[in-house]
Amino acid sequence: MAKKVKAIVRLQLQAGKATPAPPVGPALGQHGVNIMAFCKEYNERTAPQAGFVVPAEITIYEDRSFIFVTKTPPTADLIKRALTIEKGSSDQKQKIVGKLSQDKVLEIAKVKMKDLNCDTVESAVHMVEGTARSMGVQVD
Amino acid sequence: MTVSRKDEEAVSWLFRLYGHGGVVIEEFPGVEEGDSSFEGRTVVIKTYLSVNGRWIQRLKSLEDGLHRLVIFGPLSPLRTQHIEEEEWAAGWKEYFPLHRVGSHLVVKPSWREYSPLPEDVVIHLDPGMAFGTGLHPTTRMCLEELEIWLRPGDSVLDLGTGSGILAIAAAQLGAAKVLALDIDSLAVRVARENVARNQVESTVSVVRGSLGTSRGRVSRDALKFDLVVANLDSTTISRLLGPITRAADKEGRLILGGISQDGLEAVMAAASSYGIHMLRVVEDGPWRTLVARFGTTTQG
Repeated sequence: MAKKVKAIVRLQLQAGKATPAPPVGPALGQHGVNIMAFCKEYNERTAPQAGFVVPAEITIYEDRSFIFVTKTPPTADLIKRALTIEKGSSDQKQKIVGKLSQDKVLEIAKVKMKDLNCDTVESAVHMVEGTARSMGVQVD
Repeated sequence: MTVSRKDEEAVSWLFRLYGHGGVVIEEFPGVEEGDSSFEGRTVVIKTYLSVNGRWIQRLKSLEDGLHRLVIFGPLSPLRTQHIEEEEWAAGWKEYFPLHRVGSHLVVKPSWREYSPLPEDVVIHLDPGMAFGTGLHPTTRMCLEELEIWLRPGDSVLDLGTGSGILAIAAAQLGAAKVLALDIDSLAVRVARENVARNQVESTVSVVRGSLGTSRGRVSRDALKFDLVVANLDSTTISRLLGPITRAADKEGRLILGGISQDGLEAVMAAASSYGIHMLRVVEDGPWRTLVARFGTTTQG
């Protein structure tokens, strides 16, 4: 019989650098999860990808046990990589930090589709465009 | 902030840009595994701002960013809440019992009462937001091996000390001198508090840095460590084996923890390239702890 799920928590963290400090501590501590156990396992699994943000999806059960899987990098990171920019614009109104072609948007949308439970490519494309705009990246 | 799944990536990017350490995205409680009915629903996105930092400016920047997003569709309001460290820490403190490790070690959370037996070696601990409660298999195995391999009078290096638990255990077990290093300033603060709590300040010095960055200080101490303990992860351990070998006495002992079953082979290969001789591998579930010896051995 399937175990009762208490919560599903996704964390976007720097690979290999999870610590019991916020956000990990409060996010998992409130569910009674063994924070150290998560951090240790996350760091051990993701340390080879140091320098990237590697999201983890943690399924927490009623008995406080948990499992987690690592996911594709956040959309913002894929956009940054596509444009090879360091960070997004700090002032989205004033500064456009780059332009993303439709081809690139589609490419990123396809990568992210399975992780986001998007039903259609169109909805994934909209999501990528929205993220790009929030970063001060124009979509052509 | 509560948002629909389609806005999750855009909003979480802003939260990650201005928040501390990363972002939390929460889905709904009470669903059965395999039940996909939550798809398309909303999620709650959270991040944390340290009140010690420039949080007002960061919050303002985050709000500006969100305001910009509103142009593409309505968003629910941003909610903020002040959280004391104790509030969320209390959740796990409840599950941190006093516990025995190895033959004589007793790890006593600072908020619990205990009357020690004559043979007990008690470690008083409040791990705060640092690693090392002694409950996780990796830390527990390191404590057990310390108890076996540490000789009174040893000089000990603890790499990635976290809460300071292993350094304090080494001091309580008779080490003459312990250098505890951590690259995380928060861990250094917590470790120092725990060192003071155990009154081993004269034995244990806690320094921020790694072997590479704190080498000057290490050499000033003119130490060739008799025993090195490193409870990290396999990638970091493999990378540090060179500096560890240079910092250790040529007949020193080495305890390596935090290595997974999958990472074991790489660490073993790296160790053998530095002429490190494995004495034993201890297992607990997916975790492996290695005990090794440097230099001159029957095989060397």
